[in-house]
Amino acid sequence: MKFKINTFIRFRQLLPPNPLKKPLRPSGTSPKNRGGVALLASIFFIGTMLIISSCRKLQQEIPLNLPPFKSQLAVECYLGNPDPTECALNNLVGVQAAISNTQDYFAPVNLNSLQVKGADVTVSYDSAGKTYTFRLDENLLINNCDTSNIKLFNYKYFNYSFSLDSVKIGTTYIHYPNITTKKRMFFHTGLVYTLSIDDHNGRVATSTTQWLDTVSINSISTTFSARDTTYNLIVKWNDASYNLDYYRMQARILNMDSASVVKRGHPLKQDVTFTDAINNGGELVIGGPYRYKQGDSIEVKMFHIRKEYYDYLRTVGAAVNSLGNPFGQPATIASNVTGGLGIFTVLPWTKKIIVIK
Amino acid sequence: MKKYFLIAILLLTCHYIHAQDKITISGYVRDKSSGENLTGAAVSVVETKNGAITNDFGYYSITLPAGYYHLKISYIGFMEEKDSLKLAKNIRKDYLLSSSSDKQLNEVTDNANSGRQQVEKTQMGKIEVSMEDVKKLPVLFGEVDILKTLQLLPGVQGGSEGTTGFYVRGGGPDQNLILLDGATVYNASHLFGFFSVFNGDAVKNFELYKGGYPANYGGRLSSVIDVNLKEGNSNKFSTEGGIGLISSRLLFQGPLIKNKCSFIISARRTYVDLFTKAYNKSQASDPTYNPIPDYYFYDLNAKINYTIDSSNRLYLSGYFGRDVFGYNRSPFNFSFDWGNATGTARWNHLFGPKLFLNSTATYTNYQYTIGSTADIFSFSVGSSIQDWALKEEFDYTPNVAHAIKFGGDFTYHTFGVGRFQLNSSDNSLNFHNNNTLFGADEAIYASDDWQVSEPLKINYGARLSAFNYKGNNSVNPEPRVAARYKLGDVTSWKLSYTRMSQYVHLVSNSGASLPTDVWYPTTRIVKPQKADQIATGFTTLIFGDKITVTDEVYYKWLYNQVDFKDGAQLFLNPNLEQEFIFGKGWSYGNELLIQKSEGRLTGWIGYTLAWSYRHFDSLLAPYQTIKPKYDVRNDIKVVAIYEINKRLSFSMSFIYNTGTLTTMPIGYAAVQGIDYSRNNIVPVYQERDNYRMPYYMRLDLGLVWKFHPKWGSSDLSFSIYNALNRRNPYFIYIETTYAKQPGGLTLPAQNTGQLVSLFPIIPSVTYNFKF
Repeated sequence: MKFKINTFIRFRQLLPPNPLKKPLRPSGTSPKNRGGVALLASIFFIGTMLIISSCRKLQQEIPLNLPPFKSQLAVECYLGNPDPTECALNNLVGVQAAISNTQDYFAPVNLNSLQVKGADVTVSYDSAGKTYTFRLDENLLINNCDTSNIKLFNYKYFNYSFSLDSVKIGTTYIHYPNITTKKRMFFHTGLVYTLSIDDHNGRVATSTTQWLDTVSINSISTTFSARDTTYNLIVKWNDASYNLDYYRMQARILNMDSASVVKRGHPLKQDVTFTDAINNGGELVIGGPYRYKQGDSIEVKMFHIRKEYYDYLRTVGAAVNSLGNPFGQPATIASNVTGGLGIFTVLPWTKKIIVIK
Repeated sequence: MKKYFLIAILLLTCHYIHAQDKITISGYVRDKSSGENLTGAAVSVVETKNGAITNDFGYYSITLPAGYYHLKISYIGFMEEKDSLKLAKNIRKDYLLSSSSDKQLNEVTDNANSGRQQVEKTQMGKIEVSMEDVKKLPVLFGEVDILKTLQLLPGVQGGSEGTTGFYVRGGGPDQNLILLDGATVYNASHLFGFFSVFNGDAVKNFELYKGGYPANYGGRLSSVIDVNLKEGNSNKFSTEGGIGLISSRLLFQGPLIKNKCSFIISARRTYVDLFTKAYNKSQASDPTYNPIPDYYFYDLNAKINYTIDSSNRLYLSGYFGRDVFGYNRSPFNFSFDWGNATGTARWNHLFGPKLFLNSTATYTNYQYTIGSTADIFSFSVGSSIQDWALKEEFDYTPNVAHAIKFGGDFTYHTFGVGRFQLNSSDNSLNFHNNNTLFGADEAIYASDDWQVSEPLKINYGARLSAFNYKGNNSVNPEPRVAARYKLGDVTSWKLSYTRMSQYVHLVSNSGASLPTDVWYPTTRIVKPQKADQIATGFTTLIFGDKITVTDEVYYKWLYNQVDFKDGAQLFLNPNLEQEFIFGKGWSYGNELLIQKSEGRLTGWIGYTLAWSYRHFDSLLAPYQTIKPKYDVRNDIKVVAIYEINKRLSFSMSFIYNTGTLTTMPIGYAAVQGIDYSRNNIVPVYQERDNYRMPYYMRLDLGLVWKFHPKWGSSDLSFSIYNALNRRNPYFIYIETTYAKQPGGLTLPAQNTGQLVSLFPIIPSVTYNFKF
């Protein structure tokens, strides 16, 4: 305590005398000036405090004159192997495509202006000296999407697709009698597919992609955090090759009811893309956050993806994150579609399910 | 390389042999009160109308025929000294100048006329601001900052609002060489760029070169900022410091051996974390409480010098600074720290009155480390750059017509491009990756500042630089020429050409100075950046020599410019080269500076009209030619300091510039994704930096109120940042609101442009003391 008092006294010695109580020693300023100094200092603080208190918001709406906009075809077309638990046939490919128009920020938008209708959309590949071409059907919904209540930005919706022999909708298998075995699309590693889109309004878009090996998940284990009684996943798999490979992993809780979704958020808990650059050719491992609870049944999907798709996802992510982020770097979308903007890619995948007990 | 060096030296020295029979007066010019060497002081010979400028260590040397001469010794901010000498043999004479602040205000008009020096010298594109003036200017959060002062100069464009980043004559932020006592500082900022690493108390002086680079500087394309620390008061012990809103400073200096050895040590630390820690502790019993992360930064500067004898002097100096960020909430811990460390050892040696050697060994290290532990897992990433360098710099002054500089330097770089480690305590995980690259750059140089005739002076020279990476040598000659022609007594016309090469490149796509920015060497793929710059202009004195007017026009060609692919993955990427794109650039402009350095009212008005371009073939056609974000067309700066009386000084700075460029989308795409986990509205970008933000305008006001306590001195420094309380643009984005359409479809209903500002009016006060 004594130390504190002494320190205070010493500190007082460093401070200037109070100009309002005691005249400063003469040094070229008159008493009148000193009074002015005190007044000036008072005005300084009172004024600045008043100004601060009247501060407006740091965000304001402004008119934007963006560069001229010309709509182009926005394309997403994915070739995937069916879920082996849902389709017993081997080496079949399902196709789904979302074809839309890019939009002007300041023009009204609705489903008609957004979607491209009536386009010729084909996917073809060469095999054994023959070219197989498949026309995609418009508005053939192959997912559990409620067509009477389309929520474009909440639910999956593709406006063109090529179905398999049978497709699961909800819990029901729907068979399409018009699709014969001749119309089945097959895959094998290295097979090159070509996408062609003609919207009959002078816009033609094309792209190619090539099938990749699937990779199998070796193991899924969990670790437990006692603090909030949560688990995380550690997923291991063998790298597909000694080349630079790209992966996407999704982990989804299968047994969440609507009340759980409200409480715990979306069932898709992990969705990450990565490369094997850090451990090329070896066993790859990915961990994750503690988001799972005892009793969760978790489906882990491992996609072996192409570089074009990896770049597409990366640039789409960068473009989204850059808007409103002063540290973000805006990115043009890495497109592999000529005559349009988007992605045409294969999505070979496998999955494993783990139940946390 | 050695061969070129010898030829250059021979060419520069062969015709000075005849000067041997003349007499030399030499010595140091120092601050009378502190004993500090004064860099750039003018020692003028009245009879011959020429003289010498003291070098970085305050040394001058003038060789004249025997005779009787009158000398004037002047330095900005100091009282001019006069001397009369009879030169019959070589004389060693040191001069001590008194600071003008020690005298009455009406004597200040006798101050050295810095405008005269500017008219006389060949050097273009160089600006100095005295630390005394820097401390009087208004500041943000009460922190004196030399890098923010630089932003008030024409030709220097500030980075994001409130930050220390800057762009010089259309160059990028990585094209500025920042030296602290000769050691390179790779990341000169604290707190994500809001404060610089330079503690104003410890800095003796600093110089900015925007063009006409002397041959002893190299390694960056756009500017050199040479900062020198104080050497320590050799006459008496003194303490100074300050208590500010966010940090406090303390400096201690004095003689260890009177007039032989002195030291200085200074420290600065922020203290917000002391309050946040105490608050976190008080809330420790609340299990739902999320602790406030701890953050602080600190700087330490130290220097010691020892005068061995009249011909030898040693200096040792060092800097250490860190930013520390931490978050602890068991079992999750996160830490992020970054900072610079530099060390300098210097030996000044006089081989005779005409030949001065400065031998410097430096060490510099910049690194960041991010560490995290969560339960049994630990994760860390980091990056670093480390340099060991040796410089030999000779100043040779054969006669008053020539001032020759020659020397060389060697730097060994170690680039820790990406350190990554992931472990678990049960050994189920154990990954690490460490991509370390090595490179060395070396250079030799020679130049001569030659007074050809009374009106004509030429500075000619060259630098030969090289960079070695894995046995691959890149050698680049860098010619440097500058000329001055006097048009009468108070006006001179100047011309310069310089070539610069840059061998290290900053990997940053954030548009801001972030601690995670990585430096990358020149490799077989990444070529050295180069720049050619020509500049011409005039300097004239008006209103009885009280005001100096300088106007310079420049054109700059930039080669092998480095930028990044769209969506480049720069973090945790061991193959960074794959993310680069390469191109060229060019910039041009005019800079006008009207400066008043004497009297009660001092300051300057600067106006810059400039253009800057980059071209990258690999960008989306037809948008390969872009204007970089710092392409600012009109830039006006006004700085004024008015000494109301000995105790009160008022200052203001005003900035207006055309808005900087930013990249805005031209539209959006509805991206579905394979799952509904991805964002659906994706901005579609087309051209980089395609949108110019509204103009920037800021008025800052300052007031320094000095006190005279019983011993020592003290002052209160008030500042108002952005006194107009203007909402200056920080960034712009498009805000989207959604609405359900008939049938339940959710679509964007309205998009609006939103401008976000960072700082409203910010008042601050700092208490400074000295005793």
